[in-house]
Amino acid sequence: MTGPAALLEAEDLDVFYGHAQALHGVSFSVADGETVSLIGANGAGKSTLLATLAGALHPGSGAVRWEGRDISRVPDHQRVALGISLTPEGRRLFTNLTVAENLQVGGVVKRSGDWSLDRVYEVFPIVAKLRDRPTGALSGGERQAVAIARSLMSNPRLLLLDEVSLGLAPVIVDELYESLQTIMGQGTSIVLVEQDLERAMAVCDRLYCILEGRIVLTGTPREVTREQVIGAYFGTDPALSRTGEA
Amino acid sequence: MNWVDALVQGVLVGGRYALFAAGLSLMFGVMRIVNLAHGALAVVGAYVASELILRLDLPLWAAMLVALPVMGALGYLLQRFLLDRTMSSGEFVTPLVTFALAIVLSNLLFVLFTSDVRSISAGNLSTASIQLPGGITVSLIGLIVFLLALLILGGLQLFLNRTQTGRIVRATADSGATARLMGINARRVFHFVTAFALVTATIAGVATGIQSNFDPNTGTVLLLFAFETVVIGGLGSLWGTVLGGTVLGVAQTLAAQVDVQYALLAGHLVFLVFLFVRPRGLFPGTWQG
Repeated sequence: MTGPAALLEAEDLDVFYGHAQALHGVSFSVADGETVSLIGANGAGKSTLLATLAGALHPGSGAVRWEGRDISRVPDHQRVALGISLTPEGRRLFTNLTVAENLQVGGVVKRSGDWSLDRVYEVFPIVAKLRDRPTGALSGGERQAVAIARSLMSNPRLLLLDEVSLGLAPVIVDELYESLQTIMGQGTSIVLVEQDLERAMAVCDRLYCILEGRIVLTGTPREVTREQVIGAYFGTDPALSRTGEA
Repeated sequence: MNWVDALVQGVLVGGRYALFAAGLSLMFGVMRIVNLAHGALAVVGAYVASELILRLDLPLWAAMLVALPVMGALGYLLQRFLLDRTMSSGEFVTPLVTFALAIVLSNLLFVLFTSDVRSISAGNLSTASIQLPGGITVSLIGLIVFLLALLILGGLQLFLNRTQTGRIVRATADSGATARLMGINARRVFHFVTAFALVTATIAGVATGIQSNFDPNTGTVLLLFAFETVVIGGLGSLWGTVLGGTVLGVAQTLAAQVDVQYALLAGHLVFLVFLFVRPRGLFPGTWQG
């Protein structure tokens, strides 16, 4: 399943918040240039997994590997230089800074690549219009666009996008996905957390379903059916839960 | 001394208070640290400079050239080996630890240097004065300290607003966790902020030593003035800090016109009024300018 070309690979991750275990033996991988959807209900562990991949959380056991090298103990701020960028849930913009300043801070670690202020403004026209505005007054869609643009400023090889369309109007989501197509088009790997199943299945090369901290289903959108995904989402198919633990 | 004269003197003293308050305000703004040892550390800085002058016979400028990096390094180490740890141990731990640090420092100073009141000699500068129009005389050192305070605070504001490093500091102040996701080592930002806070505190401490005097317990009063300045001016706004220091200084010098004994009381009363009427201060800012 993982293959030798995995860019980022997580193996058998156990992650805890204090004594509460949030992830149970999760294995996960993304190949170079691949788009992977991570599907699951609220509290299933999607954000925990992304935070662990980005280094904001450290696994109790298991390993995270980047191009084969174990980076489990590398702190989050050093993973940006490797090429991993997380766009966190809730967008978490720097509200004391303008849009342009947010982007500049996103470019503190500048890996070589195409992304620059100009290029970001080109791909996200909505962000270009807002560049001198304080971020406090932006709409949800505007904030999401700025957050993704900010992540791109470090020229990541892997973009971890948490809750891309949560709470956004459909017309804005369409616009965001148009921009995402451009990003995918230039070979950036993406892990996508998306509540909209149709969209999650349509854009990805491969998907993982996560239920109560366990991966219960994985495959390409061709290999799995919509019914299987829904079953994995709600945990209504007992057979799936068992395969995850095996 | 007439009222206008008192007003001018108050404004000048306010510059020094602003310089004290800047470090306190910056450390709270960026790290949410209430540094109750800020005053004591300023006094430590004054003692370091004073010792260099007395023992090595250095001129003031040379003593500052040594004392400022020493105190900056102390700030760096303090943050790295003490405050970094207390910050992750809950919000009440840091005030307690800095309170304890203040007590330890003032007692240490007492043991080392006794409770004798000291002042710092700045040579001719200590007594030189300038004649302003209207028959007002200001001490040259007072004017220099005031201008220095404006220069340092203005420079800091420009630095925070216009440079990439300044943006990094503001982003970290906003959210250290999110800043780390941008590849920023938030803890390193903290180390340098505390170092900078101690450098400015030392300048203000030495200025106090030149313009008046200090002993091992002076830190308590200095801390109080710094807090009052921050509250009056508004947290997180540097120009608010200058104005806050000015309001406090002017309140003290004007009251002293009536009776010198009322000076400190008047300052505290103005502070109390602000606490009731405008608790967020004159310029409640968020380090944005």
